[in-house]
Amino acid sequence: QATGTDQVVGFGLVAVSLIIFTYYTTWVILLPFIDSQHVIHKYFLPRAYAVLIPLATGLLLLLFVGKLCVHTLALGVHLPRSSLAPTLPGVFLFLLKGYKQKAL
Amino acid sequence: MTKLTQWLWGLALLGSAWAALTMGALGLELPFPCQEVLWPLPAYLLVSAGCYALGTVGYRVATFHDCEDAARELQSQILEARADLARRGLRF
Repeated sequence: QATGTDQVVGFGLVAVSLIIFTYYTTWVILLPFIDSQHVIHKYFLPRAYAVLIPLATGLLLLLFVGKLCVHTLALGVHLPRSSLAPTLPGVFLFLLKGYKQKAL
Repeated sequence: MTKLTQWLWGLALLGSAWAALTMGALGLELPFPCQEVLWPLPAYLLVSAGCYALGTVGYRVATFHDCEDAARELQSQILEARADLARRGLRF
């Protein structure tokens, strides 16, 4: 049986994803078919935001993922080695070998 | 054909179909609500895919069974390994 925090976090994520999905589906799919004088339109932003908000969020997420990658790589720099430059040919050859094997 | 090329082909076909419809290149007179639904469609599909992924991960986290015995055994093995390596001179 899964423990307490796991269940809370897990079902919390499920709830969040369902809320976002229903709101977004109503916004994009259902609203165009509802009469523009209906009161429900009050609860939704202008349509352009339906693309702009996910786009902005996606870019922010990419930014954070990139920052995390840089941070994680920077952690490994403090090794008994003068700089990363001597390792670059090795990295390049490794990648090349990988591509050559894939082509075969 | 690799999986990547298959995906790219599918995306290219669907993308060009969507672009042709949104920009009216086919000369179809779609009713206005349908046009309104059509142009945000890629964003909608991405957001729904993201929600599905998030929901699935959350559900699997919530229903994953803990294995108390295996966890304890693993912890003791970790301590054993640390002691062994420290004895052999590896500094943590």
